Amino acid sequence: MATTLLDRLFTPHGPEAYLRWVPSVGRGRTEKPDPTERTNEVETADQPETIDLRRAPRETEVVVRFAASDLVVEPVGTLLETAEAAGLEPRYRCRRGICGTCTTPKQSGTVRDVRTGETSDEPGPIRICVTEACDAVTLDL
Amino acid sequence: MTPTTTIDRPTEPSVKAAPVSTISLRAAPHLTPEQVEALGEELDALRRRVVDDLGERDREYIEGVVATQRRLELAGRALLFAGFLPPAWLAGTVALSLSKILDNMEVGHNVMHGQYDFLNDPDLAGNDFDWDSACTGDEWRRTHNYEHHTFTNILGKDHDVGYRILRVTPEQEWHPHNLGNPVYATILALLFQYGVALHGVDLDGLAAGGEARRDAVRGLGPIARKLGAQSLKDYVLFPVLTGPSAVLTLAANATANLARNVWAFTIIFCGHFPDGVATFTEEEAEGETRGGWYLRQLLGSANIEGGPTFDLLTGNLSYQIEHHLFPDLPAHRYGEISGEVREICERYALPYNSGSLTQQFGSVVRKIVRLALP
Repeated sequence: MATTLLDRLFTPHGPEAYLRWVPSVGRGRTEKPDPTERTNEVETADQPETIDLRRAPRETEVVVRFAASDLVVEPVGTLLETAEAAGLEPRYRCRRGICGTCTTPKQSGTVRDVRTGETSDEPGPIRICVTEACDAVTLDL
Repeated sequence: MTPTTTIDRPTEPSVKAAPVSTISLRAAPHLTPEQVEALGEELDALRRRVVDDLGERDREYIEGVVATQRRLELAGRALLFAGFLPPAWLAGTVALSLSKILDNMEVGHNVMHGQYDFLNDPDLAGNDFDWDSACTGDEWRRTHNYEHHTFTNILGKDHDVGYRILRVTPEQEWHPHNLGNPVYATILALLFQYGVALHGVDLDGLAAGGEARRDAVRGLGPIARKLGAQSLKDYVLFPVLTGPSAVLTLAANATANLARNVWAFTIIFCGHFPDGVATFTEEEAEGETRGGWYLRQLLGSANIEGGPTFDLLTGNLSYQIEHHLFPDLPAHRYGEISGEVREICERYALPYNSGSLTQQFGSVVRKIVRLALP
């Protein structure tokens, strides 16, 4: 599936745009990002490591986009943990890849199964409790 | 507590056992942690090969089963309009029974595991599917997909071990009410869909007060609605539609539900309670690795041998061992990999519990009777 125009529009380019989208860990989802406040926050120590977009080409960015929530964040562990850190509340139960409660459609990107190390770039439903992002991953969440 | 898991194991393990072990299962003390992880890697590799091969064949298979189920249901309901003719009543009842069995065993159970999620078909999406059973899809996904498959055969965590009313392993403490074990088992078999629908009800919450009780009561809502809808369909709506044959149709629908109940009970009990299947303690499963989980699934399940039609009607739970190792792989694949799973078990000196329906069910019945006594 090719990257659509919409994807491009919604994917932040450049550090300023990106940083505005990065939510702070454990702070919950911010409805309307305030550019000044966010920029300050990002410089504090407990922030996840940010990506220097001036050096990393767009294709190799490791970011997770939660399409339904209009959020782009950098991953913190598994995709489920990343969603939780971003303040989302996806459904889950076993957190071991067994029950399938957290199954979420992945629209694009490459993910790795943390149990086996296997990677997959095919769009489709994935168990986000046992997968992590390898590049720019878009989830319908 | 006495050691109770008896497993037929060759006296000379084919894999060399190292002396040190951190957490090991009593049922497989001969495996070192490294060997358990190696077992897990072999099973992961086997799983990977099947996943890489998933595709059109699986779509055709499940769509074929769904189509067959729908034809059977349509034929059954239609024949019952002529239910005053004994052959039509009998044929209609058989068709409806088979329809319910296919719907529950090969379609519902397997689709709700997410086995066909990869098809991206909203009609076959594991987390949205519902079935022709008193148990709600959501309740099933919680008690079965999560509790039973994550905590398989762990006493106190997996309520499928005895469905809260039966003593199915000597490790369950004996109480005088267990004298009724064979009677309770018979009642459960006859009313199995209700047992499944209700065995996850939060009894502790109901017994408690305050918020816990309110949550537990709220949880009963969807269950009651599904029970009502199913009863309305089979015991009011379809009978009334057949006019003068209403009572006969009601009897036919009740018979079909009964047949499905007894069948599902039989297959499910043969999958976990014949002799030689192990149960586990919470301590044994603490900090369990992926290899350890695989090992527990292997030791806690048993297969039933039969032909292709039998496999279909069991929803391929005749390969309960393969199902527990790979609950999210399309079930019709289990037979194809069972030879390899058996071979892996032999190499690791692990039991591969498999027998005919008569053997396995005979073993279950004897156990249920024996465990009525201390």
